[in-house]
Amino acid sequence: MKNPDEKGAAPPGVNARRRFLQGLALAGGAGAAHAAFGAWGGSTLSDAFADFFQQHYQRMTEAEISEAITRIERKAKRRYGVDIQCDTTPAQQGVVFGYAINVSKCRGYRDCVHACVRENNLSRDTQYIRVIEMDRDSTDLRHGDHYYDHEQVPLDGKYYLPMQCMHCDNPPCVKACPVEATWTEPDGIVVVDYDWCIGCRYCMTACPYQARHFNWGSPALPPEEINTATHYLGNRPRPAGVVEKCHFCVQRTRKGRQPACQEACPTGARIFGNLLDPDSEIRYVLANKAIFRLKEDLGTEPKFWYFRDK
Amino acid sequence: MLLLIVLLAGCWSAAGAAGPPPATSGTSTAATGSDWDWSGFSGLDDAPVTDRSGRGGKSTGLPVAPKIGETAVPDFDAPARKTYALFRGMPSFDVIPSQRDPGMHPCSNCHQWVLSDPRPRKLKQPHDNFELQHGLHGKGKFWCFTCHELSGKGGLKTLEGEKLEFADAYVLCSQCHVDQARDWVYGAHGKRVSGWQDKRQVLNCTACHYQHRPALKTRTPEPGPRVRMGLGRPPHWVEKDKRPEADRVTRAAWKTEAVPDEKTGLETRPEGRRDSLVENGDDEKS
Repeated sequence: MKNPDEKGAAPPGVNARRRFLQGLALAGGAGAAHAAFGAWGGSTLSDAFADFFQQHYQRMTEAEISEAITRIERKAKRRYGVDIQCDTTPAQQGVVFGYAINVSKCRGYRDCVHACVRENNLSRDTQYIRVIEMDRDSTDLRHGDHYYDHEQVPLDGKYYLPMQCMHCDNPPCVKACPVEATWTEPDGIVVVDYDWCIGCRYCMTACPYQARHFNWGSPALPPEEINTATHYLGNRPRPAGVVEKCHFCVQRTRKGRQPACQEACPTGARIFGNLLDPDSEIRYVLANKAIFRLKEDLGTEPKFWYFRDK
Repeated sequence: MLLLIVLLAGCWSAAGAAGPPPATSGTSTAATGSDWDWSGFSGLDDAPVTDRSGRGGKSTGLPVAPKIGETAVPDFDAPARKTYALFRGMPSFDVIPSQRDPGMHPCSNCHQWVLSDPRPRKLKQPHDNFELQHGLHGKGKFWCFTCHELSGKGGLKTLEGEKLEFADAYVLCSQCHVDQARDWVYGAHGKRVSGWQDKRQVLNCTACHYQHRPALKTRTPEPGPRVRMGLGRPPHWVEKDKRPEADRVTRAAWKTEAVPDEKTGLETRPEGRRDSLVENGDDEKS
């Protein structure tokens, strides 16, 4: 901490003021440009206009969607210099996704957290998954700590509870959205149309699980680490000022793959599958294990269960 | 007819020689480790150590489970094994074999010449690289040949004496760990490496649990989230006892000393922060 008596290297007053005014002018200009060219930055004028008039995802025609996709890919190329493939794979028939986590097996390594960050092109200061360190024999989330930073995990007397979007069947965030930019897909995934979101963050306050995250600035993404296999409703690079959240890796799961967090989990604590398939692993867990959901009394009906071995 | 009888007898004797097959794969038990890809190993000595981590070099197209402690590397090159029907109504799935201590396998590299010593004793070279810490094993209740086959072929055997290959280690584990085995069979335990829609492929028990010390080790976690503004400790926060002595800031440092005025003798309390601003003097001079 600096002693207040020490004199900082303050610039002479004239220069300071001039620099301040210059900065103000620059910021104003940048703001104006920002408004004109959309939140993406670096768009051409035609792209900016097309973005402005782009419809809600569910109301776009096939042609409009494909145009929007080419725009998204073009902007990503211009901004990051990376060729991404953005697809719009629809939900499969007869599939509703569910998730179950074995809290006896989760050891708090946070491998899932960082697999998610890499897979979903998250800004490097955002994490969809929060692994909460809980006191044994307690489910009181108020005493949980997700900032834990030990040399070795797991600690004795603690257990680890990963939380992410629960993909509620009765999602309060969807009800809160004033522009219907977030909705439940037929396969149960609650998605966000990032281009329709106005960034009001009502959904963030409505969500009882703190699952939604806001892009305060343009996502800080190293271009060489961008995952190029993207989905319109999933992990495409997001603009600043919109809300995003876990989408069960829609770009993977709709093609039969596992979500990145399941794939990264080294202990096998994460179980993902189709709730409508009676032979699926998750159905076995729901039928044979002592399961619980978080904040069930709120009636949000999460499709995200926790269970213990014993 | 005679031919048929001869054929049947041949099959019968072959099956008998290979030991009673627990379920389906009579041929696999007779094969000498054919499910293991030993292409990188010409022998025990001077064997080139190939990268079998599955991460570098060759891509198998399948996801690789990261290591925990002494995790064995899943052998995605070897064909996945069909499972024995351990439980009623078991859904069919494949088991990815895991591979550990490749330099020590196959046992027959040595034990085709060296006879196994069945007497319990303190292990010496080359078997001194592990210690039995598997429940009762470490207390002398079990011995190597509770699970390992005594003959030179190398492999495992059940408590009833049925021969098993290393890739079928889960049969061995399920003899005692019935609850875990049931969960593993139906999908509540263990690691699935295939997609949710593909044919179910799971890792063998030994991929995560080192068979001679099955408890998992602790590990350093990956970094957590940043503490949000106003929600917790500031980013420069250091635990009280760990602060370097020179950096300690006490409240006294922020207070200015009361100085008696030279002329009047009254004590005044100059405002330090205000003074420093004035001394910088940007506003006044410009």
